[in-house]
Amino acid sequence: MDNVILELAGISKQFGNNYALKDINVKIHEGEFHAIVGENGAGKSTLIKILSGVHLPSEGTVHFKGQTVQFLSPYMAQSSGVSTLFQEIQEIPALSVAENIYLGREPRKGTLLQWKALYQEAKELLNNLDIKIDPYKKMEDLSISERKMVEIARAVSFKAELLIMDEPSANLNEDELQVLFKTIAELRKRNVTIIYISHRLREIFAMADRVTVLRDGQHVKTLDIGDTDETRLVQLMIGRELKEYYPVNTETIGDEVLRVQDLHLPGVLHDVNLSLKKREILGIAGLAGSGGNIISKVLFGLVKHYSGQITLDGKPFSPKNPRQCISRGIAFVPEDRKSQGLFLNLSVRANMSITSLKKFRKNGLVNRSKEVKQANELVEQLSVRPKNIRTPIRSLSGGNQQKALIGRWLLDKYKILILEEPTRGVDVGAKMEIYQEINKLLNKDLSLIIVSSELPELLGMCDRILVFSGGTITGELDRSEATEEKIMEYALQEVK
Amino acid sequence: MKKLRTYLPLATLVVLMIVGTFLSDKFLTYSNLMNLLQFSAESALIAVGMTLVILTGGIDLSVGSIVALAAVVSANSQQLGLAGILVLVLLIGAVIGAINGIVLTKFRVEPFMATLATMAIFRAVTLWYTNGGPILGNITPAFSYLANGSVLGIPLPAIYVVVVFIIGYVVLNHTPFGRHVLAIGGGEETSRLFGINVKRVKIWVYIISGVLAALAGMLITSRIGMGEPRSGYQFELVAIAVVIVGGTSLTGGRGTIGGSFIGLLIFAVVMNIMNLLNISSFVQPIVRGLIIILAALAISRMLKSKASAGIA
Repeated sequence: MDNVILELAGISKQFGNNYALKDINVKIHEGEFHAIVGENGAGKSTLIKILSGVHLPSEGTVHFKGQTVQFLSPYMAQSSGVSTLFQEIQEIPALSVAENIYLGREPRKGTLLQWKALYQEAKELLNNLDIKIDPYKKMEDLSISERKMVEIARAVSFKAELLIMDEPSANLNEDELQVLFKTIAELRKRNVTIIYISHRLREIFAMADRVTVLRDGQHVKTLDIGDTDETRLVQLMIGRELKEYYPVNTETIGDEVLRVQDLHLPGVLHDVNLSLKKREILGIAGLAGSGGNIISKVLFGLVKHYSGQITLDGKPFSPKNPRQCISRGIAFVPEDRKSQGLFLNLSVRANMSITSLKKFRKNGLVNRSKEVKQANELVEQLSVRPKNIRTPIRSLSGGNQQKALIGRWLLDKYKILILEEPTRGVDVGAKMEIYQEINKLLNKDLSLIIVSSELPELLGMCDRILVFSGGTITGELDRSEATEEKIMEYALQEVK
Repeated sequence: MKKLRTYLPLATLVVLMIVGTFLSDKFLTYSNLMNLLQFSAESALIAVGMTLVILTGGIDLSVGSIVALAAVVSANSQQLGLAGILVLVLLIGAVIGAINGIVLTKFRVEPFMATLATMAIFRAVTLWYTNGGPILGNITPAFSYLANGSVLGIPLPAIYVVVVFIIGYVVLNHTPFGRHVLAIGGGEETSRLFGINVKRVKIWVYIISGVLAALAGMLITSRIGMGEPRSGYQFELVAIAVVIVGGTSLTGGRGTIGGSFIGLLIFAVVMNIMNLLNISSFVQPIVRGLIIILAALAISRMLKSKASAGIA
């Protein structure tokens, strides 16, 4: 147990001028279950990418089984005994389970593939691990947890001595989680060392031997799990008290702005009723597939074929397309910043003014000086860095891109701002600023809907949280009563 | 639902055969069917290569120009004998294919752009080499036999069709190389993560496509008895159409060699019926266009119903 299998010595990683990781020193013991925790942007994924051979460290060395190693590719890492389960499942959907396990290493005779041997080996491997999946099935016909199991089987087939798992429990339901945990237990019996990244602290306290906390790219501490508890761990992760982190909505909540009654969307949503008041922050929680992230799209006219009544400021409202919704006063910051929100090749100015160009119209042309002036004011107000509105938005950091996206909706007057995953892929410092900015919007008489998969964010920001499961609202929690446990309880509630 | 991709082309072919039988009593005769197969030989060669290319998520627009160059070079080098011509032709295909593959892997040029460039270049090379006119020479009887001979009453080109598809099938389904072709089309980054040498597989795929196109060019010269620099025009479009109608996804990763075989037969049967009915050959490309639209429509419908099934 006390043999060090992996040692990170002074690992740093620079991207441009920014340090994603700085001077990380950790020793992982053979056979241990080592958890790594930290906020988004703390450097966890960079660390994993270094261990798995995606990135090389800028400084420092990795020692694996006493030898200094340089993994130039994930395949090389895997062949040396270090396998990684990335957050996104690595698979070829149209090929079979067996092929996915042995892709690149198929049993062959001369130039011919030995199909029989391939399926035989796969079957034995899966049996050995007590994973009940038919190796003939195509990957795309499996559930998410089954696909994770196949990935684990693949790692085992490489005789992995160290298995790195990045958020393996995300998107899994309770039953699927049990399957995952069972497989992990099976791996531990084989003395496989596990590095486990998860946001779900409960899992970590249930399984881990030790935990390493990262914050802002730095190594905060490595602790025996018995020496800490959830509250203390969270404090180490964010480096401050929770209270300072999230601003509190001090505005008085007004009258109802939006009401949704009996909303149905065949196969996706049913019996959804909700209301939103002026200057209120409404949170929407729910696991993937619960429908929580669909309601926001209905309200912005991105989904068709729904039924039900929606009223906006007392008048009936039936969202048909984004253009109409914008003109009725709805603003929307989508979950996928890069593909749905930004015009990557355009400047910060163009990205912000794009929805309000009408406002700058003069004799049929865009009044450039007015546009520039307002864009400059916004950049100042939201402290977007760099403060140059001519910078192409693609060169900004995630947090600054997000601020510019929010700025887009401040050039005109809106009633409701819908924010999907407002701080996804944003570093901790920028996160705090975004929360501050969001909070400031309330004094402009806006009402906010925040759809997020990050529970601390919802708990910290929202006046009220609606929890979705199985396409409908299974729970409503007031700020005073909301906890992560309660949200998860509602989110996992079965709905027929 | 997924089976539809496989069975829809097959069902279409069966319907077309029945329609053909009703429209002309000459349709369902041995000689007509052999005829039909025989004149598909060049398309068959190119379509097999194109299937592999498209399965990796790429495209090869240069095949028509390779056909033309191989056609005139084989007409002009009759003195080398059959084996000599064959080596030369294989070399032409392999070199142009390798150029395509290297340009698009090492220099990361889009396959469309890379092969568009070689398509233009080698068409021009061919016309320059021949001064624009056909190469009329003494085509040797042995060379002529390649496309015009027959074994046991079966025309040789018909045999080529069957052989090239069988080889294609074995390569795609029973060699690691073939499975890697599918894997790359299904996820290039993942394939790289899994240790597949993506660049090498891709280069080989374009070499195979080039070689098959060059063989098709040689076959044309053998059939018509001269080296025609204008041969192979729009062959790339025909081949792409065959592959798509056969159910292979243009984005790669999904499709079969068998599907392309059926796709080829669908076009061959339609053209054959039109010939039997004495419909102008100028109309034929119009019909080809319509078939492509219908196939694209059917596929997009399929994807749509699949996507909505996924949400539920």
